Amino acid sequence: MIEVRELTKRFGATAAVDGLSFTVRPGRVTGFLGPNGAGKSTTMRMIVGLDRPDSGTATVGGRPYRTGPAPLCTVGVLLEGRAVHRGRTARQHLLGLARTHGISARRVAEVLDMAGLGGAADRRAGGFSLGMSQRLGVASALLGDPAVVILDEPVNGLDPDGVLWIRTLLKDLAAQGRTVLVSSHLMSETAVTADHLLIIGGGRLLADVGIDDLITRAGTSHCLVRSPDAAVLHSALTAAGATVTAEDDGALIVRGVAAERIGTLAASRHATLHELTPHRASLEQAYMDITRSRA
Amino acid sequence: MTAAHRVTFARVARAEWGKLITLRSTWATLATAALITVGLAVAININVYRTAGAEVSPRALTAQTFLGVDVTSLILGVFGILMITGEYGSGLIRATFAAVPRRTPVLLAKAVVLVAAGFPATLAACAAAMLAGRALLPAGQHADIPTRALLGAAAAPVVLALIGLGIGALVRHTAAAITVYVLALLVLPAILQPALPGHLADDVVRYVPVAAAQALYAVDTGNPFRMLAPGPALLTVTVWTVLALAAGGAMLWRRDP
Ligand SMILES: Nc1ncnc2c1ncn2[C@@H]1O[C@H](COP(=O)(O)OP(=O)(O)O)[C@@H](O)[C@H]1O
Ligand SMILES: [Mg+2]
Repeated sequence: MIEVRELTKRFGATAAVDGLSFTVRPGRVTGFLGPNGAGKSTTMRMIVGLDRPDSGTATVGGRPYRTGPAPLCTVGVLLEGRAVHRGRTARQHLLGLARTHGISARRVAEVLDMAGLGGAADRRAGGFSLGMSQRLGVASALLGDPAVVILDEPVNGLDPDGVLWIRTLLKDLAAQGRTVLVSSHLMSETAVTADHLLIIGGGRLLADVGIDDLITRAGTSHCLVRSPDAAVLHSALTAAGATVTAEDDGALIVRGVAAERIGTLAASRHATLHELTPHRASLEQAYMDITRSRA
Repeated sequence: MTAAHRVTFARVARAEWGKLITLRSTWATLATAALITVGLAVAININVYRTAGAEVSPRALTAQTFLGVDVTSLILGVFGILMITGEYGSGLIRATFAAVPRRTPVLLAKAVVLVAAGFPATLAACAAAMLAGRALLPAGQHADIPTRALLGAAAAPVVLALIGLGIGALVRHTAAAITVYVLALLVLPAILQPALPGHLADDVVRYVPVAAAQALYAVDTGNPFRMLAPGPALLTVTVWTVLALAAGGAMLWRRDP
């Protein structure tokens, strides 16, 4: 469990993170979503004690990350950007981290295999592609078999295989009961894996919502109605407060009333319906609306 | 994870040792420094004893044999700087500090492994230089280099490397740290000498890190005012090293990586 309370961090005049509070629960994938510059990376760095907050607290399992006896076994983190010396091999890099905790070379080999780097384990990281570097970063996050996993834009630079691997991994980690926080600036990517969403903009929390709730909340944007009795329906719906637009092919686009109400109205006027299709607003649209209205 | 997995200083030191010896540049640097130490000792002694009537004494032999240690000190100083600025440059420092969030044990561990890798290398090089120096003495003549001077010559570059490590932690950028190191340790004393009144200059300059480090392996010059005696010299370099590492450690702790 990650608990962030009133976290604030300024860089000069910009408030990168501005009074942010949220809780990340175990057993599900929590998507940390927001446009570039929203403060996602800064928040994640503060959770693992790399950036010092100006005010507020971040705790993992009830204690600040810095005070734990075995940080790598508490939180596994993939940060933005490279964090590997080009002159060391993938295995040497991981050993350098593992040894600080007395984690075995066998575990290092294990996470290298999990990350699909078994064949590249003894190659210098300087020659790694962006995707391989990203896999190495994920391997280092898994090194201590941590109960909390934080990944900052993990699909960046990954090929389609890698993207699929990350998606499966995230779901597996959550299914094992771990706390998983994964950031992205893309709703389309997050929606595939996340069960819960934290949406931020300008360093502030804009939404803390389950993905299902967001789908419901996004609501029905309009209904498409086809009827041989279009004229009757048109006036009845308008009278009921709906906004109705007639399409060239005779279909009606109805906004402002739910599909159920349209059906009931049609029945009461003995109008025949050939089609009644509710169209949901896309998550993408909901995300845009949330970030645009409040950012 | 089992309770056996926790951070201890010994483990951090072991990790840093592994990180140090897995870099090719470590071996290249230590080998270069050793070759230069021995090579310069050979070249200088050959050159001096080519002239008939050159002084044969422990003082002269020591000075000639260890003249190249200044070069080694510069190389190891940069080596010490890179041990920490290299991590900032590559971004590795964030992974390192995520694993060891108390941070200062990392710097201390780096200091320990720097000594563990550096001192045997410089000691071997200085011992080889000493043997070469003795072998090159004019036929039938004899002089010895005191063991204290041998140990001092091996320690001096390591001390300056530790100060480099502290400066590296303080400054974080390789180029800037090397500039600070060269200015503060090499250029500043050279400027102080003419800038200060005579007696004061001698008093001040012999306490600067490079002069105190040189005093570790100087054999009695007959002029007690120019250099510190070995004991005070050791104390002086220790104070400088602790200061540099403490300043570097404080900066590591305070500033976001
Ligand atoms: N080290 C830094 N120095 C100065 N400004 C920074 C630094 N890190 C982040 N910022 C600024 O803080 C804001 C949030 O950045 P970041 O946390 O990287 O956002 P995100 O990860 O959501 O894209 C941005 O305006 C960014 O420019
Ligand atoms: Mg970011």
